[in-house]
Amino acid sequence: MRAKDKTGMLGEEIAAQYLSTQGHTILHRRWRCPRGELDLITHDGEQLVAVEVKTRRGSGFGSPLEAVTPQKLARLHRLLLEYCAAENRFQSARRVDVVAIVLSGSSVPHAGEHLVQRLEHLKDVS
Amino acid sequence: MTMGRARGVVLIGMDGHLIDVEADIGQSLPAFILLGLPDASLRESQDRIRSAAKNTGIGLPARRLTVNLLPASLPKSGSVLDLAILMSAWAADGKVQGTQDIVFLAELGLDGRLRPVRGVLPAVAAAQAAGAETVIVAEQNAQEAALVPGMDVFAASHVVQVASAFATKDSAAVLHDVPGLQHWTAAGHVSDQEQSDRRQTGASEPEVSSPAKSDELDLADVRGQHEARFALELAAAGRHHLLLIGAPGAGKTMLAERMAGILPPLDDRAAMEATAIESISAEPQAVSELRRIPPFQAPHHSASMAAMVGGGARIARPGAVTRAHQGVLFLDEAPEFPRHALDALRQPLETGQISLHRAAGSVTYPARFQLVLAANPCPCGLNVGSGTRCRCSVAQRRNYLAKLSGPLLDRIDLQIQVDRPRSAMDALGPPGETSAQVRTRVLAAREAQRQRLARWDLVTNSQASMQLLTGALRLPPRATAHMDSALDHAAISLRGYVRVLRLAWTIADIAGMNQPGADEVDAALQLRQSADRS
Repeated sequence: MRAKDKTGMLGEEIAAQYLSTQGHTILHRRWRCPRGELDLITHDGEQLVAVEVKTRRGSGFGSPLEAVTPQKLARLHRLLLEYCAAENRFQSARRVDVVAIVLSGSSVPHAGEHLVQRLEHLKDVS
Repeated sequence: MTMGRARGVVLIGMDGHLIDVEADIGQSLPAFILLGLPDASLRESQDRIRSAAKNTGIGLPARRLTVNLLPASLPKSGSVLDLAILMSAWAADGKVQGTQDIVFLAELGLDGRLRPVRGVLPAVAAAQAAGAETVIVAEQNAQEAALVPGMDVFAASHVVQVASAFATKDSAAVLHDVPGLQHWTAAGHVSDQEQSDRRQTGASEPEVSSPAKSDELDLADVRGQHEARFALELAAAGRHHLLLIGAPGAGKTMLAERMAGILPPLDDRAAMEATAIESISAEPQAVSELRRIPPFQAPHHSASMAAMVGGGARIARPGAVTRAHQGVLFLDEAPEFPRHALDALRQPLETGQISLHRAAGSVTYPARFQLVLAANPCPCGLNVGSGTRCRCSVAQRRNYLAKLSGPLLDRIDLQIQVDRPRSAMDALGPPGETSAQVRTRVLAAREAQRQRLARWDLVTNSQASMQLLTGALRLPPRATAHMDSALDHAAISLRGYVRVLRLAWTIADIAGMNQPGADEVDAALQLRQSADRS
């Protein structure tokens, strides 16, 4: 597995832990369909939430939030509908969240060495 | 706080509008939204601002930044709001504070350097009229901004200086060791000051440039030509428009170019207007002092109408008539100008301003200029005196000066013929009076006119109406006897009669008399008719 994928997996793990402490119930990780993938699908109160997790090491290439373009956001909304169709969950309210994580440390971290420098959680982005 | 405010000014034509810049940081994905009718050039500022912020080490938050420019219905353009937008964004992010009443006028470079902008003088004047007290500009614009009396002007060369002057605790750590803003007055740079004692130094009166510089064209260079010199002096004294007709080489251009040198220096208000026009039409940072010397504009006869009266795609830019405001517009070879360009002068000659309407909006520029026209009598230029050497056909001769339309000529009080020097004594004789000597008489004559005409709210004889000249300022019949008989014989029109009266008053003012007598009226009649011979 390549380093960037490792970073991504790690970020999703950190995001899932964080969201659990915020009262989310994790329904799926890496939910896939032919048209793409959703990082996390959770339940926050009454709402069904698709969470996009963006993880970076250092901020040399700008904030991870800047990587979520309008096109990507539109795709997330579309995929959430696909999920609802597949799981027949149209009755619940939906939203898309973005979690941005900046990690410190080397690109091949040893266990416990990946310190979270910053974690930002934007709710209901559109 | 997620809201920040700062102020800026946009110019539409010469009118400055104070703009309130509001910035809001929302909890959403990074985006930059600019509201309030920005045009393409203003939209580009969002990318300049992000880079400039990043490169100063303070940065902007990775969030949705909404900037609103109030009043929202006014179309805005240009880069002059860059600094104001960045300061409001930083204020919204809590990086700076106290910016809401400050006017920021500067363009940003990607490295955060402040760059000078055009039109700072009218912008600062408009800000002051709208109640603002403090303005921050790029260093190169500081001298110009300080020309507005009573305004607190601060200058910086880099945006970090501005940020550090308004820093909150949050950003102060990043900004230590940054030089402060420089306080400017009209006399120049005063001191580097901290924000806390910014308001203590008052601005002094604006410094003025000396009325005339020695390297100017001087009237002493003109040999002979006594009648034409006298006509030039009269034109300067009474602010009469002037038409010089003469053969090539007679010295028409030479005379006209020396007109600005004998005009009185501009007073405070006129100087402010002339300098403001210079500020919006020149390169940024070209203006550093009030213009006291009347401007002199001499467009070539290939000039289009847009070049004459002003034009351009969106908001029209000032043309030659506006750049000649409070000064002289000289049209050499006047009949060679396109006829519609000449006729376009009629409205500004009448009203002293020009209104230009374009799709993006209309603007009104001041255009109170003194018109000086020079023309040959015919295409070959030799139809003077007996005219025996002239090779032009009768039709050519007739059509040539007919390019100057009647309504335009109607507005020109002084129409004289300039002959080539006819004797060696004239051409090679001692130099005539210098411009300075002539200007002394012109100044005295202007003062006499001002005192006499103040009751009717006028300044110069050229503004006197027919009602005034034949009413309250009516001359005794024996003074006007010759002219009355000329009118009786239909040798001159009633309009011509009034123009002769105006000239006669100016001749009397130059001579230091209380009112013109028969000699002055006859001299005026003579000057007026000298051009009619051809």
